[in-house]
Amino acid sequence: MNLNINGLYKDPLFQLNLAIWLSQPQPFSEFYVYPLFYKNNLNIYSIGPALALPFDIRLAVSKKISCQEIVRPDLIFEKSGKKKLCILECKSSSFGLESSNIKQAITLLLISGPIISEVLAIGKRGENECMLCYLIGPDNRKLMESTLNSLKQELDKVKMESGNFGCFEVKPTPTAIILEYSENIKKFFNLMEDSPVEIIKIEKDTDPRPLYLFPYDPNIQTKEEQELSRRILFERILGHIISEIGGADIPTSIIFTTEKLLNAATFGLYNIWEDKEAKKHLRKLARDFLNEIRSSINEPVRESITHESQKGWIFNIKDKETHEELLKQLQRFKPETLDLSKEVEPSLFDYMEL
Amino acid sequence: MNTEKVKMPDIDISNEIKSINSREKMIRYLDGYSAERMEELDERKTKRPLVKSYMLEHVGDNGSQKKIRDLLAEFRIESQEIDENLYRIEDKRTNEDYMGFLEVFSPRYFIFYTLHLSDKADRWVKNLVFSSPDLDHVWLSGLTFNVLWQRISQISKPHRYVSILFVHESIYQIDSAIYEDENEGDKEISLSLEEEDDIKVIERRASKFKLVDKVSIVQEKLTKLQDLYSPLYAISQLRFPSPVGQGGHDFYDNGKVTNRSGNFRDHRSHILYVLKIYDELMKKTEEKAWYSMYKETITIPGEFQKLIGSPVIIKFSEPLNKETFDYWIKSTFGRLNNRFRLWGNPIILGPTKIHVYGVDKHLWKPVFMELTDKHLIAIVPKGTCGNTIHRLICNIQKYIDPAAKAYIGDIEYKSMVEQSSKEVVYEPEH
Repeated sequence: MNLNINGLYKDPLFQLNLAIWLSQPQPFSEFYVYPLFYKNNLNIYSIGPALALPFDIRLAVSKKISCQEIVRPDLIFEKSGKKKLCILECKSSSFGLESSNIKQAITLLLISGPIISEVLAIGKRGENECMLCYLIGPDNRKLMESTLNSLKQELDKVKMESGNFGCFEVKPTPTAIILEYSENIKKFFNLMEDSPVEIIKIEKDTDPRPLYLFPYDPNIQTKEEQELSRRILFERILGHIISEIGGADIPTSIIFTTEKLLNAATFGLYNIWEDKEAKKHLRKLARDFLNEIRSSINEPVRESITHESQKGWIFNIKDKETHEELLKQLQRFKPETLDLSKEVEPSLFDYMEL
Repeated sequence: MNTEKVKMPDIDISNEIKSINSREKMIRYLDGYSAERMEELDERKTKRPLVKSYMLEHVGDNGSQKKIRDLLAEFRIESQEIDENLYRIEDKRTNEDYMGFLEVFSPRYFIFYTLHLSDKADRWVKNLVFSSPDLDHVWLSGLTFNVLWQRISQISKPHRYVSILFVHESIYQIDSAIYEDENEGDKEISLSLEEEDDIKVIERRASKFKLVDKVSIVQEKLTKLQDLYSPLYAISQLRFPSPVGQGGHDFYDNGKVTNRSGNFRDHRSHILYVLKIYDELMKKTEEKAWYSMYKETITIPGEFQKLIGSPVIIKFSEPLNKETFDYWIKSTFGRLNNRFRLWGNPIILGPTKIHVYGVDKHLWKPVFMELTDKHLIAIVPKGTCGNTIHRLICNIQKYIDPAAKAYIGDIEYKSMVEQSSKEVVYEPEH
């Protein structure tokens, strides 16, 4: 195999999936990904939530400091019945005060303050404590903490309360992937383990990534990661189509919209993404993929697959023979044979196609 | 000695089934029939086949499950209601054979009773399950049998005899006989009864032991023996001694139960007990393992999504060698028809590590897996029947590693079975 995982630790999609795995229940003695968060009772509270600044905060910061009205951090974890929360944002590397990420970071710092209770609607201001944590790639923790520290001082200057902050840094050693974190993170969440913690053992010539619960992120960093995540997305779409067709009563007509397929392939995350361009990109990917599937199917079975722009992809399965042949051919389709690095060009009618 | 290898015209059995038209008649008939067979077994002269039952699971979402009549009608099998939740089964495909009776235990579980010879009944049930994504066997893994054995030893008299069959076939270990099978390629699975005879039977290396001894002896020795020799974890058949006389009820890993006692009512009662445990186990497994996005609505700013579920982890007792791993992967994902009934295109991540975002082809539901030489991790999206998990564990114990440990999240599967069996307790009706 072509093992090029240099960009892995910086990849936000890997980081997001890793963070989820850290919170998955696994036997402590037989783990594959050390369940650091699960063991310390840090449970997923929300994935990709839209968090809005309260009205009075927006009024108070206006003209003083530049921030966003709404942010969508990657994950929120909760501990001890939501008394303590962790807003987690995955980033490939640290960034400085001139970065385009600064507005988001300021907003997240504000939200991590006493207003978190109101923002999440779980209590009165100040009832819950929160820490903003960045999960970043190798050798970036110090720089990131320095940026966050500067931002906190900026907020202090304009008399705005911010929350705690810290950084998890993911990096490889010759034998394991480790997670490093500062002492304030350990104290805040009462983590039992001292930093660094070995989270995944590295085996010779083996890509250490875990199964991806979420397969795709348009902001992937490297060509290798983009190709792999595209393949995972396609495998999941294909698996969904095979499941639906395999379990259908014949005769039948099954309609797949690109939206339905993308939701099925992402555990519904597609629905909550707000990045319209990213969604358009994904729809185009899914449409191209369905076209590839259709053209790979031999006649006469190919005739049973049609596309209508207002409906989606229609699989008309009229009898058992068509059903068996279609399933057989779908199961033989190999997404890995596609050009997985192909540029996705938006089509003129993107908005009206399903 | 297999005392059931007897020849008698099938039509007689079919006619006898045909003549039974109520629950009472069925019970009386099968009771008397079982008593006769028991006498014959004592004399080692069985003249007719034993009563056999098959525990079946009706998979699919609760509420949207098909009615059993409609489900069987798709295969030209007629269900004639002879009492509430009890049907006489006539197969219209094969000379209008009356095959047996089907009792609906709950919307999710059925029991099929038959008097036909094992060969015929096994094949009939296997084909039915194979052809229908709505039906599956009730899968009792070696881990489940180990817990059931504990229940037996708890209440059986020490001098009673128990029979345990251990089956482990290392079918993915390389030897010349197995490579012959490679050429079978993508031969399609036969869905009709007639073609079944064409399936090639290949001899394979296997570990198969039958242990028949007093309950007290097995109780004392089994755990020690299992520690010494791992195939003894792979229990694939267990006899529950009958409290009403000699013999008992042989439970198999695929949900088949042979009545080797003289009492049908006791046979049925044992099946109901095991089904209750299985149902509890199924609920627990699904509740814990199902992955889904759970929506929690709050006032600001809308819906919150959280991921719930637990991975299924099967840890091998020792790493598989590279050849075995390769052959397992190749023969599972390299052909459409494979023993694990899985589909997927492996994403190769190392010499002994792959990811598969695949499908359980029996139920046609998604399942995502990491397979390495040390473990199998499965992510089961919500809606995929818990049966997928039990079948996976069963097959791993039977064909890969008899001493493998399984976990649902951080809970050991064995303790989940123990808990399920403890929850099936007597409760006064009034």
